[in-house]
Amino acid sequence: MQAFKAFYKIVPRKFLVVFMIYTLIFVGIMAFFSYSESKQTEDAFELSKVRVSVINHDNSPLANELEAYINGIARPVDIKTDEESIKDALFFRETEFIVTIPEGFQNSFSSPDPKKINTMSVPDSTSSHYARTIIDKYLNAARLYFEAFPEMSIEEINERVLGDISQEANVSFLHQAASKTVTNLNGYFNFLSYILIAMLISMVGRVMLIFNDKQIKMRNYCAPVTSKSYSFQLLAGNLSIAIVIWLIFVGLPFFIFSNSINQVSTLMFVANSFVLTILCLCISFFVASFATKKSIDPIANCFSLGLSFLAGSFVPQALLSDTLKTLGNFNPIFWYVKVNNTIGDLTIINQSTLKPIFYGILVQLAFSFAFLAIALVIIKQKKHAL
Amino acid sequence: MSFHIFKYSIKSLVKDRTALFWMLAFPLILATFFNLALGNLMSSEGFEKVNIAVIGDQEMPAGLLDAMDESNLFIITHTTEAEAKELLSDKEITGYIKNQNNLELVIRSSGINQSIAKVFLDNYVQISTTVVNVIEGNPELLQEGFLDNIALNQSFTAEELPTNSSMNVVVVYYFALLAMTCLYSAFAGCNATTIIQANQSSLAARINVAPTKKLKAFLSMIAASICFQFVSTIIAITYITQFLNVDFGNRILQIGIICLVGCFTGTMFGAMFGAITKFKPEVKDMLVSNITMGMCFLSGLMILQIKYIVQEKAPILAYINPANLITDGLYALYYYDTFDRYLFNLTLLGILGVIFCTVTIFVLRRQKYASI
Repeated sequence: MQAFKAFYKIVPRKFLVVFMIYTLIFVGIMAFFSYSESKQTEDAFELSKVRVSVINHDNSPLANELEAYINGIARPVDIKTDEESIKDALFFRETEFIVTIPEGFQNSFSSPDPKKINTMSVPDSTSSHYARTIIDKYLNAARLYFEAFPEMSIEEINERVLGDISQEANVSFLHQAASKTVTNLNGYFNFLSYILIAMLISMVGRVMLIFNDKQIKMRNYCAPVTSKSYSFQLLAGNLSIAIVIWLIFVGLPFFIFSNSINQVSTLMFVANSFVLTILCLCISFFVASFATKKSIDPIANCFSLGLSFLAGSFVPQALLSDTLKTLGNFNPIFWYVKVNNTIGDLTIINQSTLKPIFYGILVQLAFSFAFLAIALVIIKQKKHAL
Repeated sequence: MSFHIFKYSIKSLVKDRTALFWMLAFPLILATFFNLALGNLMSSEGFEKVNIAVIGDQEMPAGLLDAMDESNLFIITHTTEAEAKELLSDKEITGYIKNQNNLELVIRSSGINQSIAKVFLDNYVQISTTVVNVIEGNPELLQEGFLDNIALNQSFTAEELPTNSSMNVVVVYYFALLAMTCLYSAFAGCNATTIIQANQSSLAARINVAPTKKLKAFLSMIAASICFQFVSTIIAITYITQFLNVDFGNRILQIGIICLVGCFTGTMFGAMFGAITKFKPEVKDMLVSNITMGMCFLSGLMILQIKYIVQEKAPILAYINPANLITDGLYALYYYDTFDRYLFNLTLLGILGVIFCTVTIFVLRRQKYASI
């Protein structure tokens, strides 16, 4: 077991820092995402909350009631009101819709040509259409009361409008929608692909580089350990690193999202991520078989960023261009993300819905074998060249 | 400046494959990934009419379909309920409206398009309630022809455009990428101090006994790395704007100027870092790359909103971060009509560069080695 032991002497000494850095970055990013994520409840329909900032220049009862109404139905965002801050906030989508109620709005409201409320938004965005609908809805109702009962006070009108607005159309769901935790887990496991490749290449790949060093290799080949046992020990070492990393990252979401593991879809995510771990291990084996000490960093960067960028780990797969989706067939990570998304979308479990999941997992395994086989061929050829 | 040293510095940069990868190829690769992954990102934001199916064999409330048509918000399909279910399962439509007993919207999940449909239907239900309430409260209005004169779908809003240029937020990723490209010249700057300080490398020991003045040699090397990095920045800009078709606006000269100043500041940052620290070259390289990456992270290279958050919550951090100054300068060029903010960023960036340069020269000058 000398090789295995040597392996375990190298890993903590050289790679604990790498491991910690990656884990910290990953946890930080995940925390950021789950913090900034829009909240959706599980069964009931929830209106989307557009981020709206109201700048009220009028301060009349009508304007204040309107502001309160908008803030109640949207997600209010406070921004500084100088022009540059407003423009910046809009550009970075900190707020999606800025409403400026002009001075004298209430006074002109009952006239035939009321003052318009200025809105600023990303041109022709969905959220701006939505926010405008909400504002017009309130004001149309208020205007009706205004015209019918000119003597009515604004407070009373507001009360009546709010009463009317509480009338709602019925909404029902075709199937039960995917729950929030499943959506969160889906995002988490998609993102995991990047971190697993990057981490496994930089850890497994580098350890293998040490063992692949010509001098060390020559020394090891003349040791009284059969080449078979030697390879087996290395393999066991790599596999155990991979499994430890996998266990840690599979355990993490249950802390972050305080979820339980007993749901079927959760188990499927976990299983799929295990297949991914095997796949990444094979990829790092493959990379280590030809990389050199100097080139491993660039190669690891290109592989991890490239495969996961093109697979839709960061951006939803549905948003990728059509060419990229076609190219994705040649990208093992694309299949991994695809399986994850299928699991996330799963509403009924039966043979036909599970079929694409199994298929995707098989494709990933096939890729793993392919990478491993190429790596072994290269290693064998290099051995002869020694 | 010694042209001889300048020439050989350029040659050695071109032949150093690791430098070539990080300083030239990596930004191009990253830009390609951005383009592939983020290309369609903006299309999700633009408004597309909401696809709604209406069950054809059920009576819809009077005026509802006309109002939906008029609103320009929906594409309406008339179909049977079974077919509508199928369309919804395949995500072809956002939802369908049925009217057994009362008005009902059937959807798959919550979302903004669903919300638009819901609010529209709500509106219909509510206005009817309001009208009924108004008439109940004041029945005489009916005789006065009140209902004929009212507008139920009046718009009270006027849209104001934020700027006349477009608002594609994705360009900020490319701006941060350009900032990264400029600042990666820190590698070369750091390397230059390693080969000029005789106690850090044997090459430096050789250079120190040469009859060329140290400052002269150093400035030549620095000039070489700025030139090299500026060329690779131009290659990156050309690649992003011409091949990836990302629109940076037409102020190409100003973009060039801020990138040149960025390369200067980046190189000087590396030089300063190399001059004041005494690590092994590999450790220095690693630290330089991590610090640069950290700066770029804060300017929005990985998560765009970080730039905004830093700017709002910790503006000082934004003003001393060269990556953010470059990104912000480019952003100001792209988004604002005036040059104020651009010039402000450019000046700060230049000042930072000069500070780094001064510190480096003060550390390096008159260093003599009695023995190494």
